[in-house]
Amino acid sequence: MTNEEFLQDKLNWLNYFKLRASWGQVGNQNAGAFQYLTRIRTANTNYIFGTEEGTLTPGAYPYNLSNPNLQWETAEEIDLGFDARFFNSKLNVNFDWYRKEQKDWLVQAPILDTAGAEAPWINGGSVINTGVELALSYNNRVNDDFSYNVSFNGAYNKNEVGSIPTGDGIIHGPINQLWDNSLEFFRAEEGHPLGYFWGYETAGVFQTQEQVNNYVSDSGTMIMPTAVPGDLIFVDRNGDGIITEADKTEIGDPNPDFTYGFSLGANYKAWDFSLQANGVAGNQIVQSYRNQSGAYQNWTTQILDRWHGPGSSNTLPRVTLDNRNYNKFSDIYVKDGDFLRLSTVTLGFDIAKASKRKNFFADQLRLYFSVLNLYTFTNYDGMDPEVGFGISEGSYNFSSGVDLGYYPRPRTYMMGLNVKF
Amino acid sequence: MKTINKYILVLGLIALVGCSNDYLNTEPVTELTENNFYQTPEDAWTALVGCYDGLQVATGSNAEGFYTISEVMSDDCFGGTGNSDGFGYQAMDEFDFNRAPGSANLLAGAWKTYYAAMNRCNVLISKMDQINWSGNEDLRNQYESEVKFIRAYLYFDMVRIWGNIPLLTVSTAENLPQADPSEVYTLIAEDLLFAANNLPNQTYNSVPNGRVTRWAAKSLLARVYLYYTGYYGQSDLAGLVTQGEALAHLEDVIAFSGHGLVSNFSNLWPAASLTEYAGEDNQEVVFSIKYTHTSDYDGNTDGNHWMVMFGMREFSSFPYGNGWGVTVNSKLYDLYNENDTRRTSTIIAVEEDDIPFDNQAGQREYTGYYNKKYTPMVDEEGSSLAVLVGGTNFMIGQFQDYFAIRYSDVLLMAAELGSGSAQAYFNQVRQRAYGDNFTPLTVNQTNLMNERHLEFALEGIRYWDLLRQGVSVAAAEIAESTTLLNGGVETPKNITSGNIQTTQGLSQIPNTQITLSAGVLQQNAGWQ
Repeated sequence: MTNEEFLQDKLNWLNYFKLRASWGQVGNQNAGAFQYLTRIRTANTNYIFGTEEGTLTPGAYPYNLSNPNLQWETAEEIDLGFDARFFNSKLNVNFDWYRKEQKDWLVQAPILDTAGAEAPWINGGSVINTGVELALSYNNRVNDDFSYNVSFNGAYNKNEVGSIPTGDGIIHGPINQLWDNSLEFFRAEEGHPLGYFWGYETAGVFQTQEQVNNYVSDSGTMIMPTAVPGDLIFVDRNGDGIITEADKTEIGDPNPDFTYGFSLGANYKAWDFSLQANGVAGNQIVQSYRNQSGAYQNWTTQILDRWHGPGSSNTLPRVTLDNRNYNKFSDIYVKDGDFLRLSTVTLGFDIAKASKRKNFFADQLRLYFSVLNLYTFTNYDGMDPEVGFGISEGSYNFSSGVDLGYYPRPRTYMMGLNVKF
Repeated sequence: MKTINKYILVLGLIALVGCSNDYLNTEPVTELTENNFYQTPEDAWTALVGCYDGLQVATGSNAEGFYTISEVMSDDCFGGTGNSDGFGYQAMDEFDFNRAPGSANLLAGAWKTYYAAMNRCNVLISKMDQINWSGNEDLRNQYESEVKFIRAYLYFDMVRIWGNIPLLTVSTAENLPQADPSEVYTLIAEDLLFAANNLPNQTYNSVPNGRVTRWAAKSLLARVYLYYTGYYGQSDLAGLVTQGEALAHLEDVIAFSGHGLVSNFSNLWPAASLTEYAGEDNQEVVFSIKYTHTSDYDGNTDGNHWMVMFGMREFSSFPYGNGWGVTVNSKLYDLYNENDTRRTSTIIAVEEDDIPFDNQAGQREYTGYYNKKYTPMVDEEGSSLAVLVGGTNFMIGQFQDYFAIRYSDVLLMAAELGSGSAQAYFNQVRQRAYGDNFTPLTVNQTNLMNERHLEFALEGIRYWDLLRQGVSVAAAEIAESTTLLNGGVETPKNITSGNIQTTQGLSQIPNTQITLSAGVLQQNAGWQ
């Protein structure tokens, strides 16, 4: 717009302004060939007749359910934004508003085992992301000796699942993920964020038997009659007086509301300095480091602060051989995942520049020291809040924010020398 | 116009008109699909083998499957397993979900693989009319009979385990509610009657061992009759089979099948007979599910994966191999008369047999007794026999067949159903067991049920024999209050009859399936 007559050279603080608007569609057919047919499988299908061990007769069976209506998945995006430069182009601003909709999402959603065959690929509904992105940068050259730049970018995103065309409007996450025999703990459901965590809401830990006895439904029956002091208090959300699957609810959202980053850079004479940082806010992480199917697996030291008598803990329940408080997926596994990480810091010194000798043997002789992953500001008590991990089974790529205790990223110190002739 | 442009124009026109819809909707030529398979009798045979394979996987691939729960839930075995394992086997053994609150999917593998096998059968049955049988009509009857037998066998296992199951006769992904058990039994009876009437009237050894015979169908029909009329208190099998008809089928088996008893009871069991083993195709086997050692971790599932559960806990002593230690109740050992050859054929007795078992520390619910009929085996050097014949390991490489129906069961069922030769059949079974020490016993219901316990202990039959006498009879027999050694430490063990009454002897439906069904499936009582 700064090239238009009505703006050209009119405002001395505005050097450049451009409005952008775009719309696009991209297709994806990443579902394998011939998924619309029922395929016959012969591999690994044998029976033994007679008495000669190891002598197999080959067989065949229908492997998958077909979906004759299978079609492309479409990603549609609308983007409105502007780019601008102010104050002699020292300040750069980019702003975008977007709405991305993934339609006819290709997914192999789990089906009932009674179907007796592999689930068909379906066009599983839609996922909508809306948000704004803002990038600011400021470059200033104070004099020949000193210059600096500051930049910031941030994005606010809202993630929501649209209609899901399965029987119950849900794409269920897989089982046996957090520990042996663990149940589904994330899912995609209309009106909820993608891959939200689904489990029991808790209201602390029973401190006394009296408290167990007083935890009653509207009709006066005990809601958790087999509980003893030290057990978790599960919330009876539907008020039917018992704790069942129907009381499970959304207890966390793995998708950050806000992701941001900033960088600082400065040059002073022969010295140079740079810093980069990034962070997220508003997401939750599922932290599960222990196989809760047996009695003898290791705990983290956190368990030392568990409930072990009235008043000792209202967050970590007692420990039992059968793990009864820990093998039901509840909000005690869900933690806030906000963090700010200083990802790179570099300090350099150029000997060539410092020497000021015209006939120095090199154009640049820069000695630098840098640290990767210097420090992370977070309240997350796990090893690394930047898990970037989900349960992925090929057809299940909608999970994120699951911390299974994989090795955290290391802090790296580097020293180096750049020489240019 | 340049020549090249003309070419482009012509090619473009061809491209525009050249593609019909048929051309775009291709079908794979190198891959079999439902549309190009199920055409010839050869296709039908291959699909039938797929159904046998489905039966093999459903019954063999799950440690927690039909055989295991039949034994663990009966009065003959305790849950046992490792002293540091989860308590899932105790939950099954004690009919108590609260014993292992994390075991919300105890039988998920069985549920899935039974329905997977069912789908293979339902698809093949529904394609029977599509196959070109001209000149091979007999073959059609035979294959259809075999696949219907397999379907009936699967449903009979499932309806006994869970009681309330969705009933599918065609391939469907629909979210179906559980059927009334009488509907399931109607289908089972219809399928078995079809097989019993259409399979060739020839001796059992006219077909390779493992194939379904007329005699297998007739014998299974009698077993279904006894269970349904007993457990549900009905006077006939879903209005389709009367007591007299069930008996007539068994008398046919006795008269025409060619089956007979193996002369030594111990020769039926590899670990009890070693080189004297009568073999997997011996004349007593009316129907067996066959396993072999070719299971691997690349998708081949041909083995007997539950047998490892019954070996001594991480301890082997020739010829008994190591396993995960489901233990046998000492009461079973004490039940046998010392003249009964079945005692040593049925049970590994640590003390009595001088086995230097020293892993009490690793064993939960140690009793000193293990299963000898179905146990992993080792050679004199302690190497797993399963591995020696080529198996991947001792866990999935076990290859011993499951003898689902033995001829002695045919004899005892016929006696129970009121055969005129009841006493003779009863004597035949007992004479084999006692040999020279045989003393006659009058045939009556009490003696018959007791004899069945002795004859079929640890064969996946006892639990259902208890239930078919009524849940209260079963509850009284199974209830237990004793002390067992957990990791060498004396620990109380309680199985309450109340839990058996509450659950009616049925098992937990996998909770994941209930969640997926959005509540259409209902959990069985006592397992919520």
